Amino acid sequence: MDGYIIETENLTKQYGTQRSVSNLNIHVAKGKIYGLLGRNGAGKTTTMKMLLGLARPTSGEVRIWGSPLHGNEKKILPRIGSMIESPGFYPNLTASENLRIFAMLRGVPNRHAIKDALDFVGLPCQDKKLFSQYSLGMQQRLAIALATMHEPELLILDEPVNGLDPVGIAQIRSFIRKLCTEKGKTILISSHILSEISLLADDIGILHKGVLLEEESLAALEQKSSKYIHFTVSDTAQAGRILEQALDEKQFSVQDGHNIRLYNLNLPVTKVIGVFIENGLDVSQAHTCENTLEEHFKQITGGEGIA
Amino acid sequence: MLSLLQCECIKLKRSKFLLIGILGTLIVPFFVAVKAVTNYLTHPDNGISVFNLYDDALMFLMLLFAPMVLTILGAWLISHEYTDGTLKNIFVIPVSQTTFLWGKLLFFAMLAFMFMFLSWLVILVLAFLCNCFIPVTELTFPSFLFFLIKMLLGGLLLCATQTPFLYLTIRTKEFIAPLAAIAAVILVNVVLSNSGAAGFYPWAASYLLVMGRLSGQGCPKEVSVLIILVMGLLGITASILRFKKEEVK
Repeated sequence: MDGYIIETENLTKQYGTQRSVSNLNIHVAKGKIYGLLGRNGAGKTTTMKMLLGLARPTSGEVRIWGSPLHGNEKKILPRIGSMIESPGFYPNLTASENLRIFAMLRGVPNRHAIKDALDFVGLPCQDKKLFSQYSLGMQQRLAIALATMHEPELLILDEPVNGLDPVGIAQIRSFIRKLCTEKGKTILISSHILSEISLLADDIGILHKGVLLEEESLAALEQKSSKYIHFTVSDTAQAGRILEQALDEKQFSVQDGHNIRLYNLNLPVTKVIGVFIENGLDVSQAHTCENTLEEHFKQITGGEGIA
Repeated sequence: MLSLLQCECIKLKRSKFLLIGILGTLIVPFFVAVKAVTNYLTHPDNGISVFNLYDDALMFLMLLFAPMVLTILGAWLISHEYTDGTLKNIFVIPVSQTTFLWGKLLFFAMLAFMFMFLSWLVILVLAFLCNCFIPVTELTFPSFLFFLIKMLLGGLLLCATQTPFLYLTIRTKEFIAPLAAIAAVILVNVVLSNSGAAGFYPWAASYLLVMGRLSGQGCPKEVSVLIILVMGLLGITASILRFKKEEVK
């Protein structure tokens, strides 16, 4: 389809007998932030490595800007900035020395590229501090500086906020948002933190045990979050029978022995409570609730949910 | 390739490994000089000659010190890319595995030549220093040039005989296995260096080739050269194949 920067077709990666990624079909649109969401071990990093040519797919194909990655690495990869897992730099060198190495290898023509990239992430250019003395937050920021130094059109960032404190997470989130809105980059970001992805991404792909369970825009996913009335009663089996027989209502779900959800919001709560009480049930709670994104994810991942 | 070599130079900044390498290599000239002076003091009839200084230095360097120092450095040059997690940043540039490995090999060869040249230079300085107090014979430009060529040839052969350790480093991604292997190689060097089988043993044969002493060892020169060449090429080929096969973890 037109307009997709990244497309995969039945992308599969198998290590021995273990299938890490299975028939993956993701679609990353131009100028958008695509969040790849999944628990640890879901196959996010393996997917990203295959998108960067760091791991060979067992089967399937990666297409970037419409061309297959395999065989076009020299044309495609220079237009991508990436950060895979923990930041990898030379511990005996400073931030600018580290970036100088990669700028030389990339043949970055802009003489101010290193300074600009460090300024962008808020790291000092002339600092004598070695990478080995950097905090995790500074390391992550340097990794983002490296990924953006050569002005790539596409960024692939694997768990960029992993291990950061709340302030660090907010800073990195702000960098990523700026990259998309101010510089027009297309960004593929992975995380196991639902709140992070929901705060950043325009489109979301949910990966579970190597399988893409759902691929939707954030707006579409939020629409799926349904409202319901939650009742806590003395006996849910009897409550179910009352709803079916006395109120002719079938849109409900029994959660456990005491909790039941009614999805028809047109039924007045007072009427339902009244019928329950008339039939000898004790009602201790009744309130309107919204099914959160997290609950939606729990449902589609078979109840395991996401952090 | 030039940028790869420049990058390797930057990577060595503040690294203790280069210092260890230089110190390790410089031990030999000082040791040889001290040995010559001590020998002169106990037997004043045996003067100090440039030939003896370089002869001893080449023996200690090629059979003992240089293989160990170069293995440590070579293994570090490769293994630190794994431990620092930098390969994932390099291969996405993209720099091909083969180009990357050739860059490492070339830089390694440059280091080997630098160490051999440094040793040659330090012996030259020490010879002139000794001459201020004790007469040193053969203190001439042709003598020094003759041994400079031998030292550099030694560097070349040392590089060729290091490729199996390069493969071991890529295979194990650390430098314990190559270090254990070179320790065993050096031990065998010591045992074999005076035996008839030395010409067939590439590490000892390198030294004998440089010194032109293969003729008395029962192994034709061509066979020794072929053994070293085949081992060197096999080591490089196996390293490249292994490196290309690997995925970045």
